[in-house]
Amino acid sequence: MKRPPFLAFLAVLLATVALPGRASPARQEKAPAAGELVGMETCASCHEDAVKAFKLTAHAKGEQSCETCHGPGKAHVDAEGDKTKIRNPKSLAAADSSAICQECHNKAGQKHWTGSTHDSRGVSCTTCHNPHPKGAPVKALLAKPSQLALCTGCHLQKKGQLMRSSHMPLREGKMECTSCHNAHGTPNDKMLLQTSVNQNCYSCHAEKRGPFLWEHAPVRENCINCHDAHGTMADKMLKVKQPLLCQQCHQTSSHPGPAYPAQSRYAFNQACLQCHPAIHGSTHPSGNRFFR
Amino acid sequence: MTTKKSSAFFLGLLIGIAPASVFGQESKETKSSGSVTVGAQGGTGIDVSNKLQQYETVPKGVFLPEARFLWENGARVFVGLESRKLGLDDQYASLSAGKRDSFRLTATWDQNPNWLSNTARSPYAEVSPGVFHVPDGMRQALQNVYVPWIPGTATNPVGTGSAPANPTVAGFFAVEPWVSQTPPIDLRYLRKTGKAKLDFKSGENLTFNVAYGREARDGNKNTTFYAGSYNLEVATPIAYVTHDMRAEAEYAKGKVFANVSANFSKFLNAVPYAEIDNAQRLELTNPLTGRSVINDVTSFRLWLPPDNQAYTVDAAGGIGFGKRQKLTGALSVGSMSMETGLLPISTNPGLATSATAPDRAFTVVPPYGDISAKFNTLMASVRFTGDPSSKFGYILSYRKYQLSDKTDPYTFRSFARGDVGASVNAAGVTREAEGFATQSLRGEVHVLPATGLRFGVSYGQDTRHYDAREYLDVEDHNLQASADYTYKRASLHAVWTLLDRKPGSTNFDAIQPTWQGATQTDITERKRHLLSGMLTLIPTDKFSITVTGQRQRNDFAESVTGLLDQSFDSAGADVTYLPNEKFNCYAGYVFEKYFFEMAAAYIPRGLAPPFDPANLWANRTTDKVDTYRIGFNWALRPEKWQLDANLDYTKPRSESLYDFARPGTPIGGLNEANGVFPANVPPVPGFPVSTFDRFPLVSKNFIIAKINLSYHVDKNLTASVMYWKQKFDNIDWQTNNTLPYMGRVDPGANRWFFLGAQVPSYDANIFRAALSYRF
Repeated sequence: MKRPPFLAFLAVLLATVALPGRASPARQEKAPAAGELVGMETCASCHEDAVKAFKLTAHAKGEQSCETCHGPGKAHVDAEGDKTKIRNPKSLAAADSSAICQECHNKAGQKHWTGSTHDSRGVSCTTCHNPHPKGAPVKALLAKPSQLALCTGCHLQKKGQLMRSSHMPLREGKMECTSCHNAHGTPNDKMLLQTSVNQNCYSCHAEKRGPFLWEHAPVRENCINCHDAHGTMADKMLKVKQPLLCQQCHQTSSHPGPAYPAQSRYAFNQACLQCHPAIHGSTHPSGNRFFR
Repeated sequence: MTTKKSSAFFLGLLIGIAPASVFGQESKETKSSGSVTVGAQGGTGIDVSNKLQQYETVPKGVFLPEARFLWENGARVFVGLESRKLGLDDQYASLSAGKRDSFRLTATWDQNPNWLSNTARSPYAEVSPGVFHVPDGMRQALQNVYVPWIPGTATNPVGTGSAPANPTVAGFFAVEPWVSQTPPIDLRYLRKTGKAKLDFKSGENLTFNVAYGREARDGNKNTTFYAGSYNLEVATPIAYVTHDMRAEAEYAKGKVFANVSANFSKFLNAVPYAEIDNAQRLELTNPLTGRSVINDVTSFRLWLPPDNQAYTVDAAGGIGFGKRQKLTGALSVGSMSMETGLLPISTNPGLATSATAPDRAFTVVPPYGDISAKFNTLMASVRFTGDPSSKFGYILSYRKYQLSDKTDPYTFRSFARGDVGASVNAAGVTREAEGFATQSLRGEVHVLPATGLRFGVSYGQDTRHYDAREYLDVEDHNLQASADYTYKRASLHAVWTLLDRKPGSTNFDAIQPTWQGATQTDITERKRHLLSGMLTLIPTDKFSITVTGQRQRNDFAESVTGLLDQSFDSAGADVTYLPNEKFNCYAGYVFEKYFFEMAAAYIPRGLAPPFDPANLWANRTTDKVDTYRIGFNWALRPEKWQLDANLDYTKPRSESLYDFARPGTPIGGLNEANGVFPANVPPVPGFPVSTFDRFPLVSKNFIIAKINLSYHVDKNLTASVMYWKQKFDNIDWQTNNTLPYMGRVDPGANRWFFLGAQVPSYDANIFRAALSYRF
């Protein structure tokens, strides 16, 4: 059995620690002198709409100001609004832009941002959040009216899937993308909240957790061996209708082997689950084939 | 808390607190705000199908769509209330209170319906939770299916008969009226979740939170099971309660963070068993084999999900080395367990071919009084990231996930009425361990050679180890290359991924796939190519367009049966146009195509592979979906008249074609009875008799459109009217034709009965008028 070269990984890790890192132009190495700050009302003299919008947000209520993120404004004011004299997160590289937000938002749900999937693909905080939105602020200062609208702006295939008849209740407003994922990153695959796909599913479907006396191996390994959590055409969010789904693995022995027409009792209604209802696992002494 | 009590509670709280705004407004430091919306709604097509209201309630009459209130004083103490659809089955309410940067208490109540079908019927009456009785007259009618019928005697009180061979025999459909004319039942359950959470800080750097949640699910769902010679479908009860508890502490200061949390969850099922009358209580002779078939048990017992519990303890920490170098780690340990008592059983699902006379007094006593099952979980991960220069960066990560099966290897030998071999072999069946572990090692390097340009390359190796699968381990090699470019008003994101999966050593101790018929080979050896891209153009400040595409292909190992091909394609475009402050519009389209190809063959019971090539068949299933979206927001007269509209239309369809290997051989080869697609089986209505080469087309077109006109009477009051259209056209052979009795579709099911749980199409037109007051 091959082991991943963990020692090699450790060696690389230690070597890279020794490398000098670069200075982030976005990071303030020390607090600005009082004279360098101009105050929010000075900003409002030119950026009235943005300041007005900002004051409605949690940042303003938390006693943050424009210069918390944009840096000291005196040079920008003295240069009569020269854009190069003020820090604009939208014009910075994604990592530098995010570093500004991370000066405060480096804990709780954002603690795993660095190196996360979105971060590694050049997505920055301002891709999804708008700190001074027009109109009433959206929860979490999202750049769009809802999580669903925001996430499916890039993940178009998921947008299509969520419209399927067999779907999770996201478009009804009873779930959100963050019910299962943390877009800021987690130590888990696909930015899931839990350590595995199954653990994620068990948080709502605890009756499937078991454990059971008789386990169905692909079920215990991964729910998405059979289901697609974002939505499918087949009922119960199965990837393919039964009996074909089951026949992809159960190919040749006994009655799973034949091809069944639509009017066969092995195909209509619940198909294979008409006899094998305990397909997620059984605790019956005779349940090794999930009859009970 | 019942639905009515909870809604009354929150509404009362809202009404009670709202007047505080008056006092609040008198103080310069205290602020309050809120809104209440009252609506009246009606329309057509609302009650036609469960599908419209599967996850949400569409009320008729007056209701409260929304209410909010927020109060905060100069000391930053706040109280917030929010509610949606109070008093309805999908209501939501929340209360939060606390002091900013100090503590926060949040309580929520959320209800989620899931309406599975509104066409179900059942001859069974649920006389108590999980106990189902069928009328005696129906039982007699079902027994009358067997002719000639010999009434019961002193020595054989049940009676005997043999099943008729074909529908021309009188009484063949005798049970039909009993099943088709039974009362309707609602297949539905309601999930009610109450949660409370307290967050508080201790100093600048330490945060704690504790939370408790209780979820109750009540209702039913359809369960079909094998009753020894036929199938029954009943609405088994759902009476679940899940308790969740969580505590967390987090420390964050400067470049360091540390987090630890503990979670405990307990699942309880108030109805662990369903007991269902045996509607066909008799002894008969199998006409094909001449052997006695016994099915005279009084009731069947279905084992519903057992109680279980789980806990995890998680820890994470990280340290920044300055200048965007960061080391993070996470560790999670946990356990899932279940313990349940076993009851004596006197029925066996494999009753079919007893060679000797049965002993009716025989009862199977399980070899264990109770059983317990347990899995332990472990997850450990380390990630190191850094940007040594403005042109170069890297990510290194290692992750391990392990599910250890700690359940004892229980062995069960099941005998039907003392006959050895009737259901399982004398050696019995022993539970296999089903644990597995995954280790992942990944490295990524990215370079930024020019402003706005970023290239990334990553390589990862995942190894999975299994306790009892066909292979001891499976290894994935992942290679990914990405390119991101942003220049002025354009950005491009593209990624290519190659997954190369190969099985490792064969596990000779595992149950062989030929016996199970479930080979792991096809899903453990493949090459998967994925290419995706997204281009966004913003030619002007008013107009943007995003175009995406994705293509996935799989090359599986060469095999005759199993999964042969699987691919996915999608393409889409999204357009947004904002010509001015008063108007914006958007439109989008996505096309998706999913393709599955598989092959299988039939090996008659008792024979070993290889199979007869004449029995080989293949199936190709293609799902295609077009999804359209269009909408606009228009301030007809700013701060007075507002018009919003949006429409979403999705058109999915699925085509599933069979391909039989050898022309001239029996179509589809053999099955256990007398051949697949036998000529004397009537076709699905409207489907040609002569072409049994596919499943009927499935399509599930769906439209949702809303147009809303608002009039701002003044800064506090807004009146609005909305037209909401929702239409679902469900063409699905698997459920559309499902009836409580299917004997006239498949004569082999003449003794079977179902719930007839269809999902009907609907066309709903809903009108709503609402008044919103903001303060």
